[in-house]
Amino acid sequence: MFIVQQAGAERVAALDARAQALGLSVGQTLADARALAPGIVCVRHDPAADARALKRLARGAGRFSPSVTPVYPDTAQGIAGHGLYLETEGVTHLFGGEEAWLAALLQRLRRAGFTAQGAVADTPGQAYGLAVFATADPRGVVAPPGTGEQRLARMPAAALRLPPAVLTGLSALGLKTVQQVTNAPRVSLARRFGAGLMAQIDAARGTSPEALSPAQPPPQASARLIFAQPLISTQALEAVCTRLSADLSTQLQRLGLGARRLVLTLYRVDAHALTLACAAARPTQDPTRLARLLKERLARAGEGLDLGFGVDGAALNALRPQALDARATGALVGDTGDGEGALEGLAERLAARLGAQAVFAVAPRASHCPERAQRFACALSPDEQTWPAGPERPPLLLKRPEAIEAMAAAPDGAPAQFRWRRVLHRVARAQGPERIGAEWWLKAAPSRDYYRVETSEGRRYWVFRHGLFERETNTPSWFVHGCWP
Amino acid sequence: MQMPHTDVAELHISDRRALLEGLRRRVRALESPAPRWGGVRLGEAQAPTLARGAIHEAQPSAYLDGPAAAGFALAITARAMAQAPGGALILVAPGGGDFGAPYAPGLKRWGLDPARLLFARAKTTQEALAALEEAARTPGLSAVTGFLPARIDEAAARRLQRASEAAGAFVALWRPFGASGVSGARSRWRVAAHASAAPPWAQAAGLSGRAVPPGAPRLRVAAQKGRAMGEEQIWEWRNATHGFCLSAAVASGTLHLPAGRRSA
Repeated sequence: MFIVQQAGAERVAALDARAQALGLSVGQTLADARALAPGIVCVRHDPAADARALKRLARGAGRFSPSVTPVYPDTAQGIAGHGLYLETEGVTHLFGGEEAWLAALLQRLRRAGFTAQGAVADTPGQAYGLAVFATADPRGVVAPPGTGEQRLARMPAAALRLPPAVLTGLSALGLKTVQQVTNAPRVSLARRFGAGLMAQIDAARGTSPEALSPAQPPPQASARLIFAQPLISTQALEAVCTRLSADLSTQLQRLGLGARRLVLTLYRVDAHALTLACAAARPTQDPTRLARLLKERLARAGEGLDLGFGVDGAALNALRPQALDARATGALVGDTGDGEGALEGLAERLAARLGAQAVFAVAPRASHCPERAQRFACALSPDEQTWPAGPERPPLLLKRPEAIEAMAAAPDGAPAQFRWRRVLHRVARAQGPERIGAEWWLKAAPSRDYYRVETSEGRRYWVFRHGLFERETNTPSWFVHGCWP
Repeated sequence: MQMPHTDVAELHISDRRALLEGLRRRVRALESPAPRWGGVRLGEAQAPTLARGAIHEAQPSAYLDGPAAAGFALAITARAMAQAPGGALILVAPGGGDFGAPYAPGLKRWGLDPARLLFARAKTTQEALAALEEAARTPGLSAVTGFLPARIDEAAARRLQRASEAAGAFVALWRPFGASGVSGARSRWRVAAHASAAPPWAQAAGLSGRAVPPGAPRLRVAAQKGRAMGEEQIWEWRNATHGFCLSAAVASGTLHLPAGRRSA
């Protein structure tokens, strides 16, 4: 089976092992390949889908490292295939050493249907070279600290991640291995091939560190657990949440910070990662509170959470942890006490259950526009609320103004009757207009004349004429915007 | 029904002619056919303070009375918030926000302090009831108010009722017109909008017809379940006290009222 890419003629973009065994090669035209092996299966190459799959894989590889950087194929940069750079710092001991870590990672990838090669070395450059060109061992190559450079020296020059033009140039000079290239005089190489080659050599040797851009920036505070056996039951996951919360809480206490946004990542056995996000009403480092939030979030995910064949790793990250305020440290209000604390706790639990956008407090905003006079505050801030004492406002405001057919005695007067929701309302009393102009930066929008009207049945509505008669429009439209009891 | 003598003194009429006029008016009121509404003792000044640890339900008398019933639900919420410390939750379920969502600048005037309110929207009725139940079980809340659709799961409503009883939570529910009542509700109120009285200054200002601004909102309220069960009454909203008082027409004695029964 192989993949085909269009480039003038249809050409082979990638081959699997069996296709290679048939003598096919990448870059061949499809016609040539078909002539050699009539039975082959072709699939159109979709680089975007490949990139998406790699991103997914990078998330799934989070079980093996907190910092995973996906590498996309780029011939101009000398990158032949898809790959991942993982930082091994502080994680390999959880798996019983670097060898076991790499073997577990490769096994995971192969089980998920990928062909994978891997290496552990001192720098990303060495790891790349060894992973691509030292392929004999299916368990991967582990170069103990300080030996990576020697191992790399025996590899072909392409292991330095060089563009094809540079590689041809080097090979014309007879420089075929990494060692030959690094031993050649730097000055003349730099003059001939530019600084790019030198940068690649330095990156591989580790003399100048290489900057990677991981898929997710490594969090300031994060807790992770790796399980020997996959977990699938809700109780087990809740226990995991408790453990992770305790670990994260310890870290937060050390940093003196509180977590507001939490991301729980569950690593499935099949190299997929599930992420669940939730937020606290205000920064906290209380482990029971963190655990309760996570459990609520799990309960909300409920059946929709596809655990596949189980989960064998979990990480809990605090995104942008913040300083604790006096209330969160318990100086003023107990966490489970009365009043504010209770409402806050409820806000958190409901946000985890209904979604963060669905639970909110409101705060005043200095705007005459009724829709904009209240703003949604994610956290409760009872101290700083002063609502302007202006003209009367209805306690119920429609999501958006609803158009009505209104008849007014005078084109610039209050409506005499109107039809709303298919019912004719006769206006018995009216108060207004209260003229509310569009905000000056929205000059194009017409002004509104609001009337408080009471119908003959005693129902009270807030209606407005959209557009000033004669000055802005000759046929103003009418809307209902709110209701009074 | 005899009016007690003290009421005459309360009229504050100093001169004789006005006193006679007042008495004549009362006699006329007594002779006219008894109104089909009444039932609150004179001097009832505020919205009823309903029992905690129970569900209280407001339903409109007609589809378009939805806002009236919502106002009633908000008013009893405000009352509960005035009686107890702690914040309140207002949750809108799908189908519960037919006449708009609670709007903070307006709520302020309806006696609810936005700073003590938490708002929530639910995507499904089931979610909404579970969230209300969670809120009812949370100690330290002064009120839990839900705007629910017509059809709700009876078992979930029962759970909410048990939660409110167990934790002593005050739960107010708004239901649309035609909804079958929550069987666990301690009291159920049927609410309709009623034409307001003209503000006292309107006549002096020479306003008439549509130029007269709407006065204080009035509601026609009938308890259908609970201790206050009885005939329809007219309640007028008082901005100053954030409570209902008996409609001025009733209080001034132009309408006959049987004395005695208090609201729940």
